[in-house]
Amino acid sequence: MGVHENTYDSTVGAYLLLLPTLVAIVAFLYYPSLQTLRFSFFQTFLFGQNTRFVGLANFTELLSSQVYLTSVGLTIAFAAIVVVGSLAVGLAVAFLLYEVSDGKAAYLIAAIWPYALPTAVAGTVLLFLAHPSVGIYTHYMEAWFGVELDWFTVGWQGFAVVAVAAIWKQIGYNVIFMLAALNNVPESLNEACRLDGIETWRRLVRVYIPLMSPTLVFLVVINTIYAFFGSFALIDLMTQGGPTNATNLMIYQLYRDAFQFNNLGLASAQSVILFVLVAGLTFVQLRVSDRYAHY
Amino acid sequence: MTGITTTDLVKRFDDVTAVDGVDLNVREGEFLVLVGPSGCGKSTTLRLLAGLESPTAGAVEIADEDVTTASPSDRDVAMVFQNYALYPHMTARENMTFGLKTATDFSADAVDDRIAEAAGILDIEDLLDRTPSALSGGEQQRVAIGRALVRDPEVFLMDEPLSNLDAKLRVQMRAELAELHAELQTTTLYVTHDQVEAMTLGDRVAVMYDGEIQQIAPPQQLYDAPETRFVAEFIGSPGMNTVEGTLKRRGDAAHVTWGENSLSLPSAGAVKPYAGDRVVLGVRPEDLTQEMGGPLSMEVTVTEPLGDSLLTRGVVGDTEMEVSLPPRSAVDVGDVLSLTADPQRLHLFDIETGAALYHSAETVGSDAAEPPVADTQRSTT
Repeated sequence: MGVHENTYDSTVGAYLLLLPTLVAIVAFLYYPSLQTLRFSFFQTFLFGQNTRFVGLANFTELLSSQVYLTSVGLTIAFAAIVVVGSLAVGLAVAFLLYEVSDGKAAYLIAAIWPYALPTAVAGTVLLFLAHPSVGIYTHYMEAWFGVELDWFTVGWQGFAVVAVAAIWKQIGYNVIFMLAALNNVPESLNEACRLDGIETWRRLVRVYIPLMSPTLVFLVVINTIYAFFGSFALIDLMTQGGPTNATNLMIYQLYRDAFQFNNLGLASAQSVILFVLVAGLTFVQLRVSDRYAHY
Repeated sequence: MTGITTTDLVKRFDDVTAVDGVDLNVREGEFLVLVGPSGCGKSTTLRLLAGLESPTAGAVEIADEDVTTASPSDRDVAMVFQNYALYPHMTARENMTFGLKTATDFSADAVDDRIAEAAGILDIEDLLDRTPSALSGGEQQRVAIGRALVRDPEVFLMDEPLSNLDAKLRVQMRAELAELHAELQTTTLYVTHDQVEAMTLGDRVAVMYDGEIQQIAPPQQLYDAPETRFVAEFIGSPGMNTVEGTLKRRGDAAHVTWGENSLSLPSAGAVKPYAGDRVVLGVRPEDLTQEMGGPLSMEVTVTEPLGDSLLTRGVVGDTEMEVSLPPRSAVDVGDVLSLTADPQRLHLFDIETGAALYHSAETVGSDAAEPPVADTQRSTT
């Protein structure tokens, strides 16, 4: 038995020390969560001033609404694209940064500065850079590839622009973690590869990615959460859920129901669904990765 | 001929010269050990041969081919690292085969045969499907050696491969490495800081200090006739005692004195010329013995019972010296011992350059020491 187990005479002292943290967690985390859960069983009027218990009616309404189900599908597709995209691009950038020897710091700053930009600023800037009629990106895309771009009215284009923006915004974060993981690869393994003449691509896939796997699992989870929740600002600034609901992700629909249509009960139900979805996904990701990641 | 030759090899890192004009010639099938203290440039030399570093100046030849600028994979060398450098996510077998296709042109069947053969030699057949985390340090090192073996390279390069093992395992693996080399006869360059390892493993041993090679010679010759003061102090366990004294000649007789102490040298005419009258006398702890009325008197400061001998440290004149006494000698701290030295086992070094001036064994003809071999070389610091 360790000496430290007898530091306190009773557990009361220990709980007393934990009290400030517990109070903060209960007041700002558990209480609001439980309130949300409670609200999801009520119909609300006047910003929640008046409520009426409706049981599971909010959930049945949502799950039988075509708009909402489309939004769920869109969100899952969006999350898949953003997670895969930001991890793939992040990995490519991190690997290039790891391999380059001259000007490393400059490249690193260039790669991570989008992450330092507030999402609101990034969204506004991108809106103008990619604006269908005055945007410089759009102008050259049309000039070089001969395509007609009008993502203010064409649904899939709007979806694509927001997805690209969300990926771009997340690359810096991924690069920081991936580069840290790459730098943890022992130098002697690189040297063993050099002695055997292992090609760059094979080195990345067979050596680096397996060694980075704990970090990659972490990033998959964080990026999934980001894709579900963090894209709100970009959508609000760039498409407001349009065109024709093509970027109406769950988090945006939730926001509209809560703050534009003042239907807090319905929005709370959506919160619960969103929470269950993301928690479930995260759980599955962690379980699956346990089998493949090398800790 | 499959050997390694370096010509005036120099490596500078910014303003630090790690390797300073190394001329090394490892003969075909030879096991050459490069030994020296930390930071002497021995590992850098090995890495220059492997191609993991590129030299500032000089040339590297492996198997009569100039590989100075060749990439590591084009040199046909296999390296064993101090920390094993096994891929942690691969099994022992995968560690041995990964890169084998790129590094060599064996067919799939040949690869299987080679793995089986190497595993047999190293006694790791049962471990092939385990990952490194499920292997002990010694087993990991066997796998790492196996990885080098299956490549069938022209040259093995080993960078302190036993340093991470515990003392007992190190002795065992040392013997196995010697056996392995006797069996395979592959040209091997082995880097270590451990002079015992160097002496026991090497056909020849190169002692390196401050980026330069001090002496290359068979182990016994390094011990008997060190060419510099550094080699004398480095080789041996413990190393040679060195003491600064004055050389006084009277005809053919001569003696070195410091303080009240004096040792006479046989055949002093053989002493090479040097500047000034001060010299460094060298005598090994095991060549000193206790004798009533002996010419040296030592005040004992520390005794270290080693079991087979009693290592005793003390002050002779004003110089610290060590003497290896028979076990169970009745010696206590503070005692004053009378000592004498084996007259056939005395050495003199230049006080400025550290170069050897005289080995008494060579002048009087001893059965312990062999005459100097022509291909030894020396660079003084």
